[in-house]
Amino acid sequence: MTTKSGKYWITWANTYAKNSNQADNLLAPFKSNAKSFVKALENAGATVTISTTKRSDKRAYLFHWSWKISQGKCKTSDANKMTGVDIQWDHGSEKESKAGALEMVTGFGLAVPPRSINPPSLTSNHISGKAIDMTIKWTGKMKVKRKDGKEIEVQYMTNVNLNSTLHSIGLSYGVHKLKTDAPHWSFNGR
Amino acid sequence: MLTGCIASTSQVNSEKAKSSLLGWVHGECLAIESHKLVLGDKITVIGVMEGHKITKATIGEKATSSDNCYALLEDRKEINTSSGYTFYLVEGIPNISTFGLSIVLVGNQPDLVINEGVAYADINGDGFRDRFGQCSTSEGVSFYISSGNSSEATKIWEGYYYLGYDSEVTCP
Repeated sequence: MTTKSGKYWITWANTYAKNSNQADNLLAPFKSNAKSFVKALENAGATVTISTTKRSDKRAYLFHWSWKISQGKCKTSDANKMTGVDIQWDHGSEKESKAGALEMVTGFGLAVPPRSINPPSLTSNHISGKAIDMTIKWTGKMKVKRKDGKEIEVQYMTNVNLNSTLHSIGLSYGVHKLKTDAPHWSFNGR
Repeated sequence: MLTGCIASTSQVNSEKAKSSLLGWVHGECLAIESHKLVLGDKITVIGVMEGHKITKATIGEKATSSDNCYALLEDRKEINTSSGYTFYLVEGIPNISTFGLSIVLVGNQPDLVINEGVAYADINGDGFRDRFGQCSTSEGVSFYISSGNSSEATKIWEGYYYLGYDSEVTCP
C-alpha cells in the first residue's frame, strides 16, 4: 500500500532506512582495510569514533527526490520507483505534491544551498560501502604502525584535514582522506 | 551577569577570538566554539544564502536535541558535537527559516555591509573588508570569511557543518 510523501516518511526512514556505523557493513576489501587502519590507530592510543559507514540507499532515495520535487526541479513522475519504498510522490496537484516533499526536506533537515541544482546524491562511496566517517582523537604525539609495520610519529592537529602524516598512514592501508570533510575517509579519497 | 563578558562590538582579529565569536546557523540553531554565551547575548546574523542579508538577534537556551536543532539530528550529532561546538537557539528573528544557512557574529560589527548581494566586514582588522560566504563540500557545508581578492582569497575563518548525507561539491 502506497503512502503519500510527507512527515510519515521521516519516521519510516528513521526506523527502516537508517545508516550504519558498523565497519562490518562496509564492502570488501575496503572493510578489512578500514578495520586494520582503525585498529592501528587504537593500538597507538587514539580514540576512534565511527559515525557512519554504509549509508542506506533507501534513505538517499527519499532525500534525493523530496529535495528535487520540493524545489520544483522535477515532476513527481520523474521520481523512479524504488523497491521497498512504497511512496506516492504525486498528491494530485503540484502545490500539494511540493508541500508533501517539503515536509520531508524539513523533517530530514536537508540544506538547500542557493543556486544549487544538485540534490542529495543517489550514489556515493558511503552508499556503496566504500567510505567511513570517523573522528580520531589523541593527545600530543602517538606512534602508529603503517601497514608495512613501520611506526610513524603523528602529532595531533585540531584540523584533521591538514594532518598529512595521518593521511599517509591511512593511505598505506588503502584508506584515503578527503581533505574537505573532516571525518571522511574512503577507498579513493572521494 | 555574564553578559558583560561578551564585547558589544566584535573584535574578531585573533584565531582564538574568531572561533569563540563566530559561528554558523541552520534553522534556529547556532553552532559556535564557545560555551560562555548566555541568554540574551546580542548577535549579528548574516544570511549567506542567495542574496545575503543581515539582522540582529539574541542568544536563547542551549540546544540539546534535534527537536529544534538540525545539527543534532541522529546522522549528524556525533561529528558536529565532536567538532567542539556548543549549540544555542537563536531568538528574535521573525521567519528565521528564510535566512537558511547563516554566519553569526557575537556582538555588533559596525562596518558590516552588503554590496551586490554579498556581506563584507573587516574581520581581521587589516583595514580591508573581508567576504562572507558558504559552499557545499562532499557531505557538509563550509561557512567561511575570506580576505583578499577572489583570485587570491585566503580563508580567515571557516566553520564546518556535517550534514551526514552526500551532495554535490560546490566548494572550489
